[in-house]
Amino acid sequence: MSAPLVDEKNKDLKELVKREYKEGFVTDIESDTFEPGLDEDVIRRISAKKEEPEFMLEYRLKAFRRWLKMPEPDWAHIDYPKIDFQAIAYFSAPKEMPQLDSLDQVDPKLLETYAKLGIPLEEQKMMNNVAVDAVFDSVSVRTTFRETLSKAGVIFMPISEALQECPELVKQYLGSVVPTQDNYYAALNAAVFSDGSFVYIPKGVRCPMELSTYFRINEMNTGQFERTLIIAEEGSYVSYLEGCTAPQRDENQLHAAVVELVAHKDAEIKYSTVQNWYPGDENGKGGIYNFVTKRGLCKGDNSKISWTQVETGSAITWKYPSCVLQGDNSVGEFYSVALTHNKQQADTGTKMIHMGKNTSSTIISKGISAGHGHNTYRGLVKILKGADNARNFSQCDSLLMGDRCGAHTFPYMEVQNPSANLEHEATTSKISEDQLFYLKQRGLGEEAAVSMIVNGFCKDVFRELPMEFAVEAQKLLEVSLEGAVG
Amino acid sequence: MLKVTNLHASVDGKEILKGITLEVKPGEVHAIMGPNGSGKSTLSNVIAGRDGYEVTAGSVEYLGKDLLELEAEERACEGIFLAFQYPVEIPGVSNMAMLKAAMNSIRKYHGQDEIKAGDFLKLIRQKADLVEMKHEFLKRAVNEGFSGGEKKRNEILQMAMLEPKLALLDETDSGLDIDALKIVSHGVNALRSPERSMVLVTHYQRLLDYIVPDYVHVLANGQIVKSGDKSLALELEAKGYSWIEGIDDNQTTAAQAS
Amino acid sequence: MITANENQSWVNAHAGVALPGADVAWLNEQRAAALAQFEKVGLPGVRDEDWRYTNLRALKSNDYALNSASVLNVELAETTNPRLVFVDGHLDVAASTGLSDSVTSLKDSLAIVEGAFGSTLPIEPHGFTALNTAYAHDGYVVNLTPNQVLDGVLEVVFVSQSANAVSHTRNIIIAQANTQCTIIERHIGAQGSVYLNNIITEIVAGDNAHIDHYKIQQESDDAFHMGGVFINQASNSQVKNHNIALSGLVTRNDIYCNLLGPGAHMEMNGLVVGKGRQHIDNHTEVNHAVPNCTSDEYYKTVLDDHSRSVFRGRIIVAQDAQLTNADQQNNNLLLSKNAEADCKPQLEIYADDVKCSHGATVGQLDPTSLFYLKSRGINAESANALLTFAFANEVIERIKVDRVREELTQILAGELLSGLEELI
Repeated sequence: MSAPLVDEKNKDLKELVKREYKEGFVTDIESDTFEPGLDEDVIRRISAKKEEPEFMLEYRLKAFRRWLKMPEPDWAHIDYPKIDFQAIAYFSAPKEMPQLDSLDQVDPKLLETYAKLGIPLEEQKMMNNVAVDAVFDSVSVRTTFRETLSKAGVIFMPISEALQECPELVKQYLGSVVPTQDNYYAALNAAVFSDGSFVYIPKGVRCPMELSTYFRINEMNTGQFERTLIIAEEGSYVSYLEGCTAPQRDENQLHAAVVELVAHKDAEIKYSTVQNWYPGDENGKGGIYNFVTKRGLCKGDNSKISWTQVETGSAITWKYPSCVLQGDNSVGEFYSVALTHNKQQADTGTKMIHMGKNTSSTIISKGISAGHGHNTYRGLVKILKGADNARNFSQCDSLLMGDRCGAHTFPYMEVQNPSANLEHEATTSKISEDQLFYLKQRGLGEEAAVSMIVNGFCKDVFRELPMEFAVEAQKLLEVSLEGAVG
Repeated sequence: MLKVTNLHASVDGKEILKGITLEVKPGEVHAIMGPNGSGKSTLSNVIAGRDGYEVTAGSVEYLGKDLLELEAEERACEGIFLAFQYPVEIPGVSNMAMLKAAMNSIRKYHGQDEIKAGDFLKLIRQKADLVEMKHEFLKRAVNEGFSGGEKKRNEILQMAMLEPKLALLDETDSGLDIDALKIVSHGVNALRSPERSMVLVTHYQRLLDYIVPDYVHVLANGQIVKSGDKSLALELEAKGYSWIEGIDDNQTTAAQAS
Repeated sequence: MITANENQSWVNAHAGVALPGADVAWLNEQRAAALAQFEKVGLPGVRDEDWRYTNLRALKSNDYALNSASVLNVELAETTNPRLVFVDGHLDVAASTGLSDSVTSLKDSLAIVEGAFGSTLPIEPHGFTALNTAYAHDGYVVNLTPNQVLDGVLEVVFVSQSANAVSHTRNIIIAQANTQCTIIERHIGAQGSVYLNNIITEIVAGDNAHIDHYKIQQESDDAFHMGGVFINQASNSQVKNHNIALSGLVTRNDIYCNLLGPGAHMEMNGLVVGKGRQHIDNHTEVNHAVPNCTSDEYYKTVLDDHSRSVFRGRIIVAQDAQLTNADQQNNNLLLSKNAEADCKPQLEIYADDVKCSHGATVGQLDPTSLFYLKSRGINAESANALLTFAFANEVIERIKVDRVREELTQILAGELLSGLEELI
């Protein structure tokens, strides 16, 4: 019937469930933070702080000079005030830098922070079988399970450390998937990135545990520019998880990360993200601007890269985890749930570039818009001339909750090979009154009914997440939607 | 158990129910028959508390409570179950997950603990057998890709699980072939008990061969125009609805003439 | 003459050409604004998002001249139906039948089109649209007063017969309340001739107007066709646009529809059959501005040789356009390894109680169907041709006017079934 989903009578319910961003606290810790501003000197100082090899400084400066000449992109379906790049501090680190070999030397306040976030860094308290790298503002503070991993030959360490320990390996791959000139934010990241994770899985190794990085922005007026590089050698396998949170602040903060994945012959990389950066308040004040470039190269034959993301945070999300399917028979996958509530805006999707023969890709995107949120799927499937027998299936569904939100779909298909088979489907709808009544008639309250329908809507994506993350994602979605129906 | 008094209800400003009075006592099975558009489905939707139906006059008392004051989910928790004429598909939500959430929601309402996973599994398998539903269907999304007959069986399965005090079966026989009708009826009959009342809403007498009602009411033009025992249904079947409406017309004509 | 690739020279080339209505104030205002717009945006290039797949280098490298009235020098098939004939963009009265109070030429109808002229165009038109407004010299006008039904089918043939001609034709259909008409536009040109046909049709559909509009493009294989069909629909109106592109070197069609009154229904059917080095770019846009409107879009593409097609289908549902029902399908069939299909469906939805969907496919003929035909003794080539024909003909089958449907089926059979026509 025509009764509105968002109903006056449930307004008190809304009050009842209104909930603060639980990760929004600030850790009071002494930091070594650069003055806001960006010039070549700042870049030299970052590089010097990190005691980087000479090639890195050159790499950074080259990127910076490129960046200066690049225009800020404005094609995305998002709206935000111009970012003042000179008002951002490009480096911040806890003053007492821990020695990474012992937990005792880590500032207890940091441990407390991660414990509050539900990420204990003491290995005995850890989730089974998950190794964690914790990145606090600009630096990595702790990587767990390093010993276990190194026995398997797996390298999992902060990228700043990798630049000291295996500079040649980093040099070989850094920028090989996302070149410095790729886009505005990638160039900025190349110039100023401070830390991030480095993963190397040797030939034939199945990484014995899930690898995970938790990113935390703490300092005010600070941008976070992390860089992640994952290399899976022939026949190897790794599953990598990434989580992000930030304090609740009135001003916007910039997060511009770059993630590069390289999968060699017969290798598989599974990359999962649960992104819960501070989304800003219900009036759109504050929140993280999340401009991220993520790209995987399926370099070898039969390689596979799979992206799964659950995006519930950030004021602005601009992110297109992509796969370049270079090897024959390589496989790219993208599974995404993006939720925008209040005044959040997300422009997210993927690019699948088919180059090799018999390559296939799957795109499942579920967008949920509530309140005044705007959610855009933007994707490209490109079949190049040599990509015989390429296959793609794309499904982009949008769910609308409330009459002041928006859902937009902008897929691009470019096909230069006649043996390709592409199928794209997109639907937009709201939760039907019939479904809601059906569940209520079975005894479920409105919130529970909506949550159940939304989870059902996202199921195809959730089941791609590792178990621990799937539960977390589901809860996060529930929490993020609270108040959306009241 | 259920006492409907002079109930008037409208949809989009159009009056559909024009003064229904009906009393259902514990353990009784009432059949409400009537031609299309007579208001049968409206009656069950109003009792179940669907949005969009406006009650303009009258009352509905259920177990001594004013039913119209309660939200749809509260009515469900109080033991009212509606078997839908058109069961809804809910993609991605498994039958089991939905039923478990529903059971626990109802238990919570009554201050009971959640059902144990093992007990739930045992129960649902047992009830699935009752309606001859393959166990693999339990893991499938609610009603998604089910045939018409499977959907109706799924409704009865849910009813068996939730053990309502008052079950409203809205055109449960529509779209069923004779074999499916027998299975569904068997399931319903198995759930008959001295404490449980049922209201069957149907267009055809056929269902009543299998689920024998205690009372039959004929609904026409938003009012109960005739009530009787199961023989009324047979008479209707033989003479058609025009028989009842015919009486109605004649009465009107007679009244006008005099 | 226009020298290549300079926006100012496009303007200069038109200087001194006598345009109708030089003393009509509203028209002069629109022309001046359009000229200013053209000077601002110039001709589009691949850097423009809406032109990223369409390279106009070949178009820009030619010189064009705007002719004054020409006389038909080719022979058209006989017809008993009313038929207007435009030559290089100018109405050839002698060759035309069917002129009436309701069917006139733009030149003679400036008073009638005031208010309608330009009313359907996008706010920020691209260079070709701006040029068309600035230099519109002729076109057909159909003006139906309330309850008027235009009997039969009005056919309008646009013949481009002079090499290097440019025409900026503006057609206007004003269908007031409860009117009905069926109009077929055909675009033909002398084979091998290079010219630029820059043509716009504006359709203003009043309450409950029913308009069937066909555009059959069979230009010269070396011609440039820049087309626009811009539609405004009032309550309960029904407009069907059928866009069949069969030849031309570079074709661009902007088909934009604004659904402005509740209950309006828009249907867009499109078929592209590309071969040689043809490039066909169809941009459609349906703007659901008010509640309770429906739109149904169905575009198919068959590409052979080095041909390339672009499909951009945009559906916008405004914030208050509740109960919108919009569907879009775009299916592409690539027959050659050198063909390319680019496809860009877009949904922009700002209301919540809507049902919108789009589907796009790029692929080959169904192997099961191919096998089935072969197992019935049909050779591979014929089986391929038959299934390709069947794929394309699904668009033609949506055409309600028997005569048009049958004719197009024949044309399509000629294109795709050479030598096998007896099979259908």
